[in-house]
Amino acid sequence: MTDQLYDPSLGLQALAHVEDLAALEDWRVAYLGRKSELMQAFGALGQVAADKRRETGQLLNEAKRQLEQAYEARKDAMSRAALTAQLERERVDVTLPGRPLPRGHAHPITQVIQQISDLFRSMGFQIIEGPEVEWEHYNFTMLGIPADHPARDETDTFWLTDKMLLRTHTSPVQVRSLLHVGQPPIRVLVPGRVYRNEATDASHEAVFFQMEGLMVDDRTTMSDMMGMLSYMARGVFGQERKTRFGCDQGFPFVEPGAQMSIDCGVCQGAGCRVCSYSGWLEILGCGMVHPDVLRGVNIDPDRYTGWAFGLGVERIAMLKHGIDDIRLFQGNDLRFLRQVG
Amino acid sequence: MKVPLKWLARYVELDRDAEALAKLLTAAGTEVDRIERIGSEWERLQVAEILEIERHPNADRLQLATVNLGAHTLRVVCGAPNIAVGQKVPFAPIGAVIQGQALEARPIRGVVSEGMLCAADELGLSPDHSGILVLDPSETPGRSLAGVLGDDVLELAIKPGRGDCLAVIGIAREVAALTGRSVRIPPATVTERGEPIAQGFQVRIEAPELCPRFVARLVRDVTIGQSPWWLQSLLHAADVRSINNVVDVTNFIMLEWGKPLHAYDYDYLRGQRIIVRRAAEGERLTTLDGVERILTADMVVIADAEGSIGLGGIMGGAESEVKDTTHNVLLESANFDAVTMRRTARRLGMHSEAVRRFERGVDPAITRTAADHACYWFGELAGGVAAPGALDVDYIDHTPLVIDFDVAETGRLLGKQYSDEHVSRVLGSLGCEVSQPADGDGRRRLAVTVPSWRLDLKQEADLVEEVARITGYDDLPVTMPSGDIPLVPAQPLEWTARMALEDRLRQLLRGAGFSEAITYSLVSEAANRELIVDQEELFEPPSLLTALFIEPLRLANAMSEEQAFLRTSLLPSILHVYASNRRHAGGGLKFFEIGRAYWQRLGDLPDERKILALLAAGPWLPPSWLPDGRNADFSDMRGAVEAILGEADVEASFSVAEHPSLHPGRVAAVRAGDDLLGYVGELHPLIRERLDLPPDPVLVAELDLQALADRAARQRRYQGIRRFPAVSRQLTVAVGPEVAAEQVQQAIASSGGELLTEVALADVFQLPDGRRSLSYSFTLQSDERTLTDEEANDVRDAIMAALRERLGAVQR
Ligand SMILES: [Zn+2]
Repeated sequence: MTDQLYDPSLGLQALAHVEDLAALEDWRVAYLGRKSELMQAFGALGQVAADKRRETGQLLNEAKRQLEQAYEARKDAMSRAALTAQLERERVDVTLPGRPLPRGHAHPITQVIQQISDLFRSMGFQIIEGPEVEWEHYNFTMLGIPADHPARDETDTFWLTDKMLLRTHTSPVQVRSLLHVGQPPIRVLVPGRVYRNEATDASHEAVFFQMEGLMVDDRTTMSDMMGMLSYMARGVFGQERKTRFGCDQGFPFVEPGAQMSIDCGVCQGAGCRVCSYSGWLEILGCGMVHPDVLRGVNIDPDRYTGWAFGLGVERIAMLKHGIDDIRLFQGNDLRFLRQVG
Repeated sequence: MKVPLKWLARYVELDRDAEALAKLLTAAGTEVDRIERIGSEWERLQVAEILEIERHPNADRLQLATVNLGAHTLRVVCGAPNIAVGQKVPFAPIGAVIQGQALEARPIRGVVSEGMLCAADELGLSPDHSGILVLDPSETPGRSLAGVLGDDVLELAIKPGRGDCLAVIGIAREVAALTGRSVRIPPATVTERGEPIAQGFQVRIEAPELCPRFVARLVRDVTIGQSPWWLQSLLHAADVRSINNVVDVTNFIMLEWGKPLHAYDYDYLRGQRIIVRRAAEGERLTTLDGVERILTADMVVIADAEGSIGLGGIMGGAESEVKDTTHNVLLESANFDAVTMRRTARRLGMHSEAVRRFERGVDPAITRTAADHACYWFGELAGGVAAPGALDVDYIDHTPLVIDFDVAETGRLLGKQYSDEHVSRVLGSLGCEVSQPADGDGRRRLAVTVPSWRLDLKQEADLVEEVARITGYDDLPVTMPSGDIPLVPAQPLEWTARMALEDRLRQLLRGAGFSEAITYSLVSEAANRELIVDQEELFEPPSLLTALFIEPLRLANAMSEEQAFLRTSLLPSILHVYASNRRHAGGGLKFFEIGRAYWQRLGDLPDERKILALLAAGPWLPPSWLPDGRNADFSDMRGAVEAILGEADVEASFSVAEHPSLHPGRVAAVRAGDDLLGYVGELHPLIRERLDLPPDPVLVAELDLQALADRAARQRRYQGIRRFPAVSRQLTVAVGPEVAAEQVQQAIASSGGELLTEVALADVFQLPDGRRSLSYSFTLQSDERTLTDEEANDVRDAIMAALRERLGAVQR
């Protein structure tokens, strides 16, 4: 036997018939185990003639390397196949919908307020609030609308007592902030609810939201106001929007008074139903703070100038999202909120 | 204010069409709301000449007219008595649309009419149906009627400060300034005859503070009748009803000049005099609308020798009005105090076109001019002859206002400095007189004399607006604000902190599946009441737990009972959102609102509390094909509130509470120390039934946002990470049913010592004997050494001892 050379081909042939991990283990014990023919041949190496011992040893090592390599290759192939089979079993229908994370909807009024607030914050404006139930004095008189002035007819007012009312605009917060700060410079933006005693329809609400902006400084002009408001309009409606300013004499607390329009995004200015075929959409009123308003809060109008604007939040949201009924905002129908929130 | 362009063109040359004019006026602050097209529906109407008139063979009251339409003649049946051969009249052929109906060729009493001759009402020109409209004799037969009578009417929204624009002449002045033209005022040549008015008649003003000027003119021998169609249609286009020629002339002058007038039947006036005085308190006067008015001493009356004959500026008396039998007219052109007019009109509910003008202020310089123009038209249209002269009692100081105008103001306010020349030209075009004062001190000052009709121009800023708006705002440069960013807070800092928290909570809640609602802050009286299970007043100080008992502020002039009160709680609002969505939405609903509640305060503005309200009902997790459909319960909502407290960085405790709308066993007050932050709970089943809601539990919470923000930890400091390993221990105890979990938690926290870093409730279950089993897991850690088992067990034993001692707990 010692003369006979060990032949690994028998084991390699047997390995070809091994089909599973158990059989592979049997094979390993049979051909590479302690009691295998190969191992016994190693054990008998001492009995081999000295001159042949080295050569026989090399042959046996070579046979062992071949068997081990074949074994590892076989094992790898089998575990890869097993893994493949497992992965196949674990296949899911990836086209099934996912387990949803909870997601609520933002209210479009809040979205517009936050968007405009961000634009103004970037220019050093502080976002502030004020009371909705106001004194007549702040809502009207200090804004150049004294009692028995026909301008009071322009806004139908909800009264609580003969001195207390629901603010008809956010403008009284202008006055309050000027009194709070004392001296310019001031830059504030005031979002909030306002009230008008008028019948509601698709474009009118008795309760709605406004944003009021005010800047007073020793060198700010109508040109600055136009620049800042155009920056806002482009931020809200898109960089390609154009703005236009016209005179508005309807606000007694500004002089000169103005209104800003943007070119209609629906028809790109060509004229359509949304813009009443004018190509332009009026979006806010603005102007230079009236010198009497500044005097009323002890700011010298010969030294300081200021500008202010007010816009209807719902109107902006309606234009942005193509909403055709203002009553949807406080209706809170999820079918509405889901689409625009 | 409606202005027909043909009327406007009498005073200023119009060099552009209605649209262009409307754009120009709107950009300059006189907003054109709409352009009405008179004649846009007259597509096929023509001018016809009446050639021949025969009697209708079968009807006495009908005639057959043969008319010439230029190219051909036709025969029409006509019922109007006023037609005559040679007249030019409007003609509508078969197929034309008249008053919304297409004309058909139908026989009228046996004779087929080949068209129709039209009266003013059939053309929409005025309500007049007394006869066929007779056109100017020079019109060409066959010409399109729209070319003859068509017009564009500008509908203008006049702002309160611009009373001068409540006049066609005022609009003409605007157009003239904007187009570089001049205004043409037609002259008024008054034919005077007979005895002067001053011979025998007197006017006395006893209350010059209420009526500073009164002009009277006498017109004799008028014949009251209908106004000509052109005047009727002008008034109709301007929305003023035609009464008779004399009254129509006074309204015509009001629309033309903006100066209200009043005509009295001269022969009714007793004692040859007019006295303008304050009304006596309680004085009674029947105005010409037949209503008896009770007057007060701050109203102004016009009286004759025996008593009041009119309410000055507002309405004449019934007895002295011009009627069909009037022969002689006394015309009043007066100025009244604007505030008096407004108060009187409001008090008596008598708003009119005249009041609208008086309360905005009327040019004090045209009182006489307007009277003269009226007298001219009385002569033209009613055959009246004016008595020579006028009585003019005038207390007005007519010294014009001169504004010292520093032209540099244009640059300071507008951002563009205009030249003296430009400013002078613009202000001049508006009727200002502009001159450079002789003693020029080097500054560019102009002396600007304001025209009498521009009562709104009072100071330099007003002139700057005039320069800007007539030049066009497009002329201004567009720049960005420069200068220092203000550092002084413009509101209390704690409000700013609260607003920042609101924004963060919005994010948090949206991420947790809550949708934001914004609801009406005005509610009905029932809103609170219907949420109270037992009508039992709580006399506690106002808080979120008692807010439904706070008496809401009531509007003095609410539009409807549905929105007559300011809400004291957001709970009715958010429940309403749920109820209305429940009708169409299946699955779970989760809403939040950040809004205000309004709590009355004596003699002050109310306390406006910023509240966060939450609501959840139905499945807590979003719907899917996966089995997660468990309904929201108290623990879910409490978890949401805990997350909010965490975001706000507020340490708070939960304790048993009472709320009038909530399940008595499922409501917790949320407190930080002794301060109530809000509550969380489940809607009482009775309220759920009352509101007709489905049987799913409705979880709600309200939190006071200012209180939350005020309680937030101001600053967080890094405490270091403990380097030695943590040890955990478990402890399960049984406690009696009266022991709240919060008590156990507090006892653990206070007895655990400084090695105890975390406590988590791991399990809760009900024992058969009524007690509850609570399992806690503790994390113990030292920052000095690795804890031994004995040390850890000691802490657990100390905790167990405390629970046993304080709460009667038994270890399990
Ligand atoms: Zn458009």
